[in-house]
Amino acid sequence: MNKLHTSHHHSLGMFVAGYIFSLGLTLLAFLAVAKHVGTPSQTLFLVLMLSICQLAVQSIFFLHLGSEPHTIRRWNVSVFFFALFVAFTIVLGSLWIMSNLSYNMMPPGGADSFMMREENFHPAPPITL
Amino acid sequence: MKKEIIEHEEHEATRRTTLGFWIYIMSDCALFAALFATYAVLHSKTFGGAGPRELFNLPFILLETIILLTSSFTAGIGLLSAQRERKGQTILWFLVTLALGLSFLALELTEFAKLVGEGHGWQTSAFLSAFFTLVGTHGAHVLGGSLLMCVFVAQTAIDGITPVTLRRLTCLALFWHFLDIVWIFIFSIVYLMPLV
Repeated sequence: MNKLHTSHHHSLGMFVAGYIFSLGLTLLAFLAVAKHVGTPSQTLFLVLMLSICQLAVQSIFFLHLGSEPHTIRRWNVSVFFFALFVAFTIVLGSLWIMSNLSYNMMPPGGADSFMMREENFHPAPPITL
Repeated sequence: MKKEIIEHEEHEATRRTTLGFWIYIMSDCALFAALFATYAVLHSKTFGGAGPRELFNLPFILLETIILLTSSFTAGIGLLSAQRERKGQTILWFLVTLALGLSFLALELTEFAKLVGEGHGWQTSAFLSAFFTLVGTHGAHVLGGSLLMCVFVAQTAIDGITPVTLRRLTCLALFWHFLDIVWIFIFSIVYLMPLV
């Protein structure tokens, strides 16, 4: 026995599997965009889903999230999910606030044309006396 | 008996260090999240200049992605060799990772030089400022990781695989995998999505 054998060991198979999965997901996302599969919104959704799969694959196979010894696993996983929560709050919150801001701070005259274009709203013609 | 106590303490130190480093990496996520949010808000504000569709060369970016992904894989293999106390293999795999990381950086700098040379520098539009900040911050992390890799490979070559070098290589491998995950999101959100 030697002194390093107490530490947790990973296996080669995990890394090879993770590499193949990641490579496949990357090529799939690339081809979906390069070959214009489906409508733009379908492709956007597909690329987003593939990148989330990629996050899961690399966290499990490369970072070995969830396969550490029990005592540290709880900490690693809870820190990971907290970081995900913070990241999503920052990104989605910024997008939400900024779209709200640009909606409410349109230049003079911009609001009418925006509402006619995007919201199918037609102001009544001015009343002539 | 005394030897066992020392082993136990080393083991505890490794666990504490890895957990601390993991918390650092996860807080780095907040930095990248802020930069991704900035890019997401500003990506269409091209100020009349060229947008993502005109500027990005997809096959070139795919090559960068595959290089970084492969380097993440070789870093994992390097760590595996270190855990099995194979010094030569560890050094070899981390040197391969370093070479791949530096080729990634070279490709990225080529892309940046091309953009700036054609008059699409970071001062041109809000979109390009956000783009250069996000991708440049990732590149700076890769550069930092490469420097650390030089130091740790030299330490492994001199000291051999000790609990200390193993600990450092473990943190480095975690950091490198993290950079690859961030790049996957850059690849999807910055490069692929605008071209849909």
